[in-house]
Amino acid sequence: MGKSLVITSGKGGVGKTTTTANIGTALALQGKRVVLMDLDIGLRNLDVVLGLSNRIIYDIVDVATGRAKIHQALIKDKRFDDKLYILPAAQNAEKDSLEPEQVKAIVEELRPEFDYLILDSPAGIEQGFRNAVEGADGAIVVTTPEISAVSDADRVVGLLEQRDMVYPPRLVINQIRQHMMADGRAMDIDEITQHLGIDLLGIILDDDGVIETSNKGETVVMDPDDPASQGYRNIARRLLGESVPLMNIEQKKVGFWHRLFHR
Amino acid sequence: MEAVTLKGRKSGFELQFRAASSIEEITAQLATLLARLSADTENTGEVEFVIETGDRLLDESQAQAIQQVFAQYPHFTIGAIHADVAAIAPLKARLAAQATHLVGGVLRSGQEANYSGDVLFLGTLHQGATLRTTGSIFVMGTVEGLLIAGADGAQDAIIAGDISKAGQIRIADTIEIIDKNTYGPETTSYINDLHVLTHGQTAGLSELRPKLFRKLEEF
Repeated sequence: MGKSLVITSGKGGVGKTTTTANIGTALALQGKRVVLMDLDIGLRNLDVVLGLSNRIIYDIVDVATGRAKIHQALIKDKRFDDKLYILPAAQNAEKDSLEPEQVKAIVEELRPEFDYLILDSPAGIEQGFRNAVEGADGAIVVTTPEISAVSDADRVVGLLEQRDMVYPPRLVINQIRQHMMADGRAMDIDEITQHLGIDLLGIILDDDGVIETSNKGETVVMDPDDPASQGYRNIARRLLGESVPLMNIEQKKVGFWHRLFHR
Repeated sequence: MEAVTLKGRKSGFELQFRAASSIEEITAQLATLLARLSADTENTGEVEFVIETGDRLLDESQAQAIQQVFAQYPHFTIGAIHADVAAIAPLKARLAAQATHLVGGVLRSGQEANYSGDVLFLGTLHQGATLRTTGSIFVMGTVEGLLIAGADGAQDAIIAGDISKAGQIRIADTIEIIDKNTYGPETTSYINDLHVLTHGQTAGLSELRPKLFRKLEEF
């Protein structure tokens, strides 16, 4: 029986969809069967990030309303054998054309066939968020080292804790700029984790490769040398129960002689 | 000029109503005509009339008035009521279904444009947008979204033009996912005899769909 996890953040633009795509890909690379569900009705882009948008024939609203069978709507990502599937959101349906019970029913139908079901929640805490959370056993809260993102994450954690899920919510801190964190201009990882009071699942460095690969319809995880990719791979391994130490984000200290001669 | 004329045709009797006469005039003359006929044809059994209204379209109350006159003579029946003219709304719909629509502008992600008939597409169809029609689609603009031709199941619909950047095309119940760099700038997509969505050159369209070609020439 698969685990269902919702990826959520409250705030928009912190990298929910990118995180969904990359964690999903990383788990698929680890040999797990994964289905990614896009719940951002009306503004779908999980399919775009994975370069699968031209393969959409039916979407989650078609499934929920009985116009299509679930296996007609699932899109297989051929790059990962039989491991990675996505269930796309509807693009021209109303935002509230999906009900939490329908999402739950879809999750339960898919659960026996997959190891992981990852639900990509839309920004905000309205219907779309409630839909996504309803189907999930646990949550991954994505935030960035910015006060606005952390504040929204705090609100979301509060809402998640009220729901009494099987697994407690865990934190991913995304878009970390090493130099800003090193000289104290951005919020510290420990500071954020302590403030939110939930376990840290992983950190992702801000990296050009993330945007570059997603523009090509790929995920950064496919490139093993990329620093953001390592972050996502570590998250996947932690989800699978391995204990992986946190990545070292400190930049190399500039030595006395270096400073002396490289003014 | 008589408002109502009785004519004998091979197929039977025909009553012609003069379009310029008022409906009161017609009913009055019809009443006297039928009264005379009834007296002449007492033992001939049932007689059926076809009514020709010419350039007049009878509305419901007018048709009822005519029927009331007929109701007095049980052996006279109305076979059909014909007019040389038709109501505007259904004609408009029929014309629209036959017309080639010129479609321009930008269709953005999530937007959907629906037509009946053929579409000459001159605009831009973004990824995530849908252009759907019951007829064929001729692409002259940029297409990155979803094209649906023969939306009501018309197997003979085609999609012609540049679909190299399109996401997906559908004709009737067939679907093809278009991968990048598969097609050149000029393709004609159609359903072949084996009910498979396939592609050819636009130059061969006249042999492929001669009916469509004749229709295009008529415009």
